[in-house]
Amino acid sequence: MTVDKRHVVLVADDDEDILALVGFRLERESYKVLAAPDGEAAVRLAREHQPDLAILDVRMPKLDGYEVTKLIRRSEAVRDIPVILLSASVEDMHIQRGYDAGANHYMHKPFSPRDLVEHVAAALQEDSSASRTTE
Amino acid sequence: MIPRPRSGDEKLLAAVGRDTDRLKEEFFELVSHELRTPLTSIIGYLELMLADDGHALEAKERQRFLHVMKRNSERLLALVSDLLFVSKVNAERFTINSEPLELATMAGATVDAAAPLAADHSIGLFLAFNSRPVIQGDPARIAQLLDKLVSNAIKHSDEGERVTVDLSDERTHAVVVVTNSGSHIEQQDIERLFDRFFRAERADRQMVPGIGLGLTIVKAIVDAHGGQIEVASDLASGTSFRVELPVGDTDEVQVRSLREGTT
Repeated sequence: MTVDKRHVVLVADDDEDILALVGFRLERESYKVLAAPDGEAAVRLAREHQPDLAILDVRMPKLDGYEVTKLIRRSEAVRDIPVILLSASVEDMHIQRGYDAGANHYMHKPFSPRDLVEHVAAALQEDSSASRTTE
Repeated sequence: MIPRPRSGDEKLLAAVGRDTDRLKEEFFELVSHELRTPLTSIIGYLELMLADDGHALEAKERQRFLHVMKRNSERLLALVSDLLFVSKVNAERFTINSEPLELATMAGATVDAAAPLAADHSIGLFLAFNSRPVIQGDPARIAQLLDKLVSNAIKHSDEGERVTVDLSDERTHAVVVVTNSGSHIEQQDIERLFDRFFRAERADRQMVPGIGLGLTIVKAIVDAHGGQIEVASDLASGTSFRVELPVGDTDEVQVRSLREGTT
């Protein structure tokens, strides 16, 4: 039996085209992708599968990206994972709200999928070196 | 929240001004969101295709990406057209042509066009008519009115619900009733439903796409045709929009759509 050592990335967006776009681009980089169409599904997947990183749309039904971020930060198993927020809003107030909720990075829509995967790689790298130093 | 004015009109005016500013801000935020969302897909999928120098994408994937970009471009165009339409109505530069139109054929085309959207959301879509009312109207605008009412009903329905389009003839006018079985609109929302940029509480909560122009456009088209529109909504039977449109000259034999399809 082989153990799947790939990083697991949770992606949540209520726009199915954007969800598929991000999922496709991440899978090309050999990440394992968990896709959620709304905030509640994102929280459920985060708790069940403990992803290594989460990419969350801000404006989502049921629970928005800020609330999902807060719930991730309160959830023992995933509290330290990097969270990247995606938002079509350019208001400073909203960006601040994202960081206040505990997000590590905030990207504006439209974004370049290449930039996004670069951020994912950098965040995972930082995350793993941080956990090594604390071990 | 607007602070309650303590005294004098000045404070009240200032409060109303702040409220208008806040609404304006919310509106621009919503429009920005609705423009940026389809652009994200168009730009994102374009990047995937342009980066594909080594032709790693399968033909099937390329085809799928192109369809996504087309759909999102159309969404963008629809939004821009709605904004322009409403500004035209606002500036009173909105005029209609008038010719005999057979509603059953037009409603049939609307239902056919909306069928994939309904199927995507597992919503039953039905058209019913006992007679074939003919009205005097603008073919493009009446088609737009039917499309807006039907797509609106689908957008605001949950999985498993039904959307029905009923046509009837009441001598002086034709009646179109579009009903969605499940969704219910609060009374205070009904009163503002036709206001520009107004969105019902449920639409906002469930992040139903849109900027609150669909029904404003419907109302403008109904008004321009000398018709009436009414909304009824209750928990038991859902929400229905009833549109009355004056029938044309019944001696008119040049009924375009009758010649095309029926008998």
